Amino acid sequence: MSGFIRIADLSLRIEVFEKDFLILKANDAKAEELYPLAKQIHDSRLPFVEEVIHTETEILIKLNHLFNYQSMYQLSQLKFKGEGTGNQYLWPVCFDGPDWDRLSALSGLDKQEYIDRLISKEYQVSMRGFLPGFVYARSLDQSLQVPRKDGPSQRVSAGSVAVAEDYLGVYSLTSPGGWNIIGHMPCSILNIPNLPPVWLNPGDKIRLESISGERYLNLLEKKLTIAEYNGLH
Amino acid sequence: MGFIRIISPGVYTSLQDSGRPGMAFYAIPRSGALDQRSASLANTLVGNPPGTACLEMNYVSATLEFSKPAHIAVTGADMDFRLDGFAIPLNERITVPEGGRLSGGSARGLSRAYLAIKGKTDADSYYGSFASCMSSGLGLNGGKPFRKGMEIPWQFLNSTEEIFQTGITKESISDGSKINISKGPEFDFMSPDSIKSLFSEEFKLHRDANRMGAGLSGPKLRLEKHLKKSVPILPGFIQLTPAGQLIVILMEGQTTGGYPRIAYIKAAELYAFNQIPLGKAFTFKLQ
Repeated sequence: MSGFIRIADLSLRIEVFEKDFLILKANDAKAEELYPLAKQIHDSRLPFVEEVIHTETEILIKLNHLFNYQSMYQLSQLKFKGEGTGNQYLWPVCFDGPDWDRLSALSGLDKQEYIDRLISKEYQVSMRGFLPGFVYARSLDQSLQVPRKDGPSQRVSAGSVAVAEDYLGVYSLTSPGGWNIIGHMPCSILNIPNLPPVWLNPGDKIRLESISGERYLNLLEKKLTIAEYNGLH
Repeated sequence: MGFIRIISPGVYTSLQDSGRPGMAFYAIPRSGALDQRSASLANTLVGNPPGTACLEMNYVSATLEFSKPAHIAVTGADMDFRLDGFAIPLNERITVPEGGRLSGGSARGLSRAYLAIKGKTDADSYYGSFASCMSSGLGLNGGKPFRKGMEIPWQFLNSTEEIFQTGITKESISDGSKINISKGPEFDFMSPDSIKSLFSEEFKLHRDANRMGAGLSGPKLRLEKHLKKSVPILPGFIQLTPAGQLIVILMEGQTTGGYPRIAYIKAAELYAFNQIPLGKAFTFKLQ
């Protein structure tokens, strides 16, 4: 089943998958307007909602047995306002990733040129996701955009900084992963066991700083969080 | 207070409960027992609330020693369980003496077994759950599976009062030879011949299946369209990779991903999929 729903002044496309889950998609709304709505749905603790997951293009709501004919009305009555401006973070990165051959071949840029272009720009966190400690930031310059790998690598080590399509991201925990690994960051963005479990929130800004292998090891030893490194803690 | 000592760890033995519902918003996987039905049954048999933390064993039994007398129940896969060397039945409440040893062998028919112990663990909880989750590093020992020599802190309850076992159904678990699936958001991204293959050919679990996800081996399926952006995913969602492989997202699965979600297994049926033994062929049926 699919149709349209209006929540506050957002017009959204809604697709309902039996009584299991539903997906809201930005219709004429801009992607950055979806996060405040997702946060409001999560914070409102509506009785029929079991999980809320936000991405740039969708909000997925996992439903429970309390989902009924009144649920859409309850959704449409939600009020929310946009998020304020976020924090600025500098990410220290040692560009020693294993995927430079692939990146150079696909982008046509040599490693140094790629790095120069990458660090010249500011990126904005657009969503959380994947696993705790992963944030998606955008947008990479067109010349730096490379697709995900065709299948995931079985083991991506903690602190790996990666790119895919127009995104920049970091794997804070060792896990499988399908993005192209460009380097490693010695400061963790994790904030477990607090909520949210990461320091960065959608809307925060990121710049990259190229560091040497020696400085990487030095910072790793200090076990600084990304908030401490940026003097935000 | 007492403990359960791990004499030999089996395969990926861990502490599991009903997991961390409501945390997907923060990209924290749900985690929890792969076969919630068997885990609930084991707890109910010993008089614990159904979502109490219990031990999940995969393919091969662990060997465990109880520091105090305990009431236990084992459900799910038959792993030839023994108490101090004597065979014990599945799906029954059993009394273990102080120092008693539970052991077993390889799973037959199904793949996961659940051991409930009357009382509760004294381990630390994270975000309201004791569930081990290796992908998020949460739970006892950083979410890693049990190792030889570990001691799981436990508050054993040994009251002899009657345990009321109401509403217990011990119906046998489906052997998982036919898995019901529903169309996912990107079902139409598959080529028509791949849709045909999905519902007519046989699949098996790939050897590297784990609690995050189960890659399948079977016919190579083909996508006609790809996703530009990462999208939300839940346990039970079935992704198709551009390389043509199906991946079923499981309890420790990531909350977003870039591969098309061609189908999904309903939460209430995921337990049957999660009991399919390695190497066994199964088919998908459109619900």
